This record gives sequence, structure tokens and C-alpha cells, in this order.
Amino acid sequence: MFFRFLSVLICILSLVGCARYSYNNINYQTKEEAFAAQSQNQQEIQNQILPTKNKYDGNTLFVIPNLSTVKATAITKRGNPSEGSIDYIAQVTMLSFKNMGTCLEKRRIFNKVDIQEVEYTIQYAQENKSKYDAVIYLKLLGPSQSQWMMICKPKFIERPIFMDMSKALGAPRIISWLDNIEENLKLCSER
Amino acid sequence: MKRIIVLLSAIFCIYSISGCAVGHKYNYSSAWPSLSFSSGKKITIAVHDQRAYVLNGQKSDNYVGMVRALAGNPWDVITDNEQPLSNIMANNICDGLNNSGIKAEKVLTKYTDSKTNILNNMAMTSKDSDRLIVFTVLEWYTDTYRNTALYAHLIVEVYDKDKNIISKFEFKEEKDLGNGKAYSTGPNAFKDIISTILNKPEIKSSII
Repeated sequence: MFFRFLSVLICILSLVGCARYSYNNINYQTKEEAFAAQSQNQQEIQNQILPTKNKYDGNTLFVIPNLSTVKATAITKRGNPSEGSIDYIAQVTMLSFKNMGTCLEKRRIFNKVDIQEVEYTIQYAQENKSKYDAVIYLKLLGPSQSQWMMICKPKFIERPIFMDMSKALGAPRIISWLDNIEENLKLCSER
Repeated sequence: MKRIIVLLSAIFCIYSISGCAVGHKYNYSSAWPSLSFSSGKKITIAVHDQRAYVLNGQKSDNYVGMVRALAGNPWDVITDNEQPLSNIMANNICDGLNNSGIKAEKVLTKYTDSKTNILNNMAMTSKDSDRLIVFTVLEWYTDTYRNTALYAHLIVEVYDKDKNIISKFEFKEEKDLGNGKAYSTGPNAFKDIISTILNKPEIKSSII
């Protein structure tokens, strides 16, 4: 009787232990499968990014938060998510930030894009702004408090970079973000 | 075989009575507050644990609350890395300020330190700081049974670099955090409360 109870308990625990990893509303059995799906999706986005016709002769610093900062600031921790869930969501978030950097490189607006992952993005951007023609960074204060920002020469005026949320998710939305970077560069040059 | 079954049953009974309430630790280390403003001022912060039960030795300085077993009996909860709560709070506040674009550093304290010593230490360690902020923790713990209750009492004092007080804010709250488990509701409450305090006009105006 006891062993039968133990077998049932092990079965229940085994079933409960089947973690699901979600990406783009599709559930995967393993983290690796979910990351592979994300990688494929990002590759498809990158393939749709074409070099610009408005090339800017300069270098840019692209600053994104590192994993520990993403874990501390970007994830909603209501509902008691496990450490494993927080870690997975943080990694997916990090990969999506890196993808923005790769898309910026593929657009070839700048001669060079220097991608940096740092603990405090605002400070790093401010401290290094004079070394580059433009600095693009993510101001990430909380899950609902994030904004891409840009500082460019000669006056180092800080401007938000907008993404057109009316565009379809994926490449169209990222292209609207890249368009806005080019508009901001024009504004910087005019002043 | 019978003996093994009796032993396993006994272990199961003890485990049920204790309600898995033994050995709980909460991770407060990612509870960074966020500011709605930035500042060019350099800030040094210190968190001073002055909880009565820590001062009298009844509880350790890494105590963050209790969870209750099925019978309602309380079990102490400590910080997950066993560091004093004041150190973790100081790290979090410092990280939150730095992440919001304000240059901040911390001075770690002991509950046995006097406030005068802390202020002197802050002024000496960070000579280029424009503001010194001392968070005095008079109460901070969560009590979890079916719901989690938070008991918080903090005093925040902002000083200039010459140790003259500029502003002071007192926060006291006893709050029902709902029926979530306290391992994340406690740290979330800390993040929210410190963010609220730092964004208060009287504190904000003395930092900007």
C-alpha cells in the first residue's frame, strides 16, 4: 500500500516537474528549444534589415544592461516566479536587446557599432559620450519603465528613440526604431 | 520492513506539523528601487539597523521575518546569503540610484554603531559626496501564515556634505501583502517602499 502511494507521488512529482518555456506564445519543453526558436525568429528579423541610404560618417556606442541588471529591473516578480523562471525570462530579454544591436549593425548607419553590456547603462552612456559620435542606450528602471535613448554630438542633447507600436511585431517595428535613430541623427546635425 | 514504514510515517508526520516552515531564506538582493528623476549630485548612503529585537540580541541582524507552520507556530526567516539586512538594503539602494543615473556609493554599518560615527564615517569615506543619506530601520519584517503581513518603520535623513540635515521623512506601515508567499512579496515591498520614499518631493528636492 505504502509503495503504491509512493509510486503515485513520484508520478505526480514527475508531471509537475515538466517545466514549460514560452516564447512568442508557444510553449517548449526545454529552455534550449525555446532559445533555438528565439534565435531563428531573430535571424529572420535580421534578414529583413537592409543597409541604409542615409549613412552617417561616425561611430556609435550601443549600451544595454547586463544580466544581473535585467534580473533586478526588467522582470515583474509578482506571483512568485521561481529563480529558474526569472533566469529564463532575463536571458530571453537580454537576447532581444542584443538583437537590437545586431539590427543596428546590419542597417550600417554607423561605421562601427560598439556593443557594451554594463551594470548601469545611464552612467556608462554619460561617462563615454565624448568618445563616440553617438551613444544609444537603454534606460531601464523597471518592467514598465524602459526607454531607448540617444545622445549625439556636437551638443550631446539626449533624445528618446521611439518605436512605432502600430507596426507589426518583429522586423517592421525594429525598422521604425532604426528610422527614428536616423531622424535623431539629422536633428543633431542641424543644431 | 514494518520498522521502516513506521519511521517514514513518523518523518512524514513531523514534516507535516512543521509545515515546511524550517530553514526559510528570502532573497532581497535584486530589490532595486527606481527613481523618476536624475541628479548630478553624488550621494553616499548608509542603512542603520535599529530594530529593537536586533539591538537586544533576540534576533540576528539578518532576520527578515517569520513563516508560520500549519499550527501557526512561527519560524524565523533570514536573508538568503545570511548577510545583515542593512548591508543588503544598502547595496540595493545604491544599485537603484546608480541605475537611475545618480552616482552613489554606500558605507556599511553595524547595528552597534552610533549615528554620529556613521555620519563621520560617511563624510570621511566619501569626501566628494554632495549628499549623505541615512536610512534608519526601526522595523522591517514579514509574517506569513495564510497571508503575508509587512511591518515597516523607516526614517530617512538627508544631510549635506558638512553633515547638516536638509530633510527628513518617516515611513511607518503595517500592511497586508496578500496571500502570496513572502519570499518575493517582502523584497517587492521593499523595492516599492524605497522607490516611493526617494520620489517624495521633500527627499527629491534635497537630492536634485
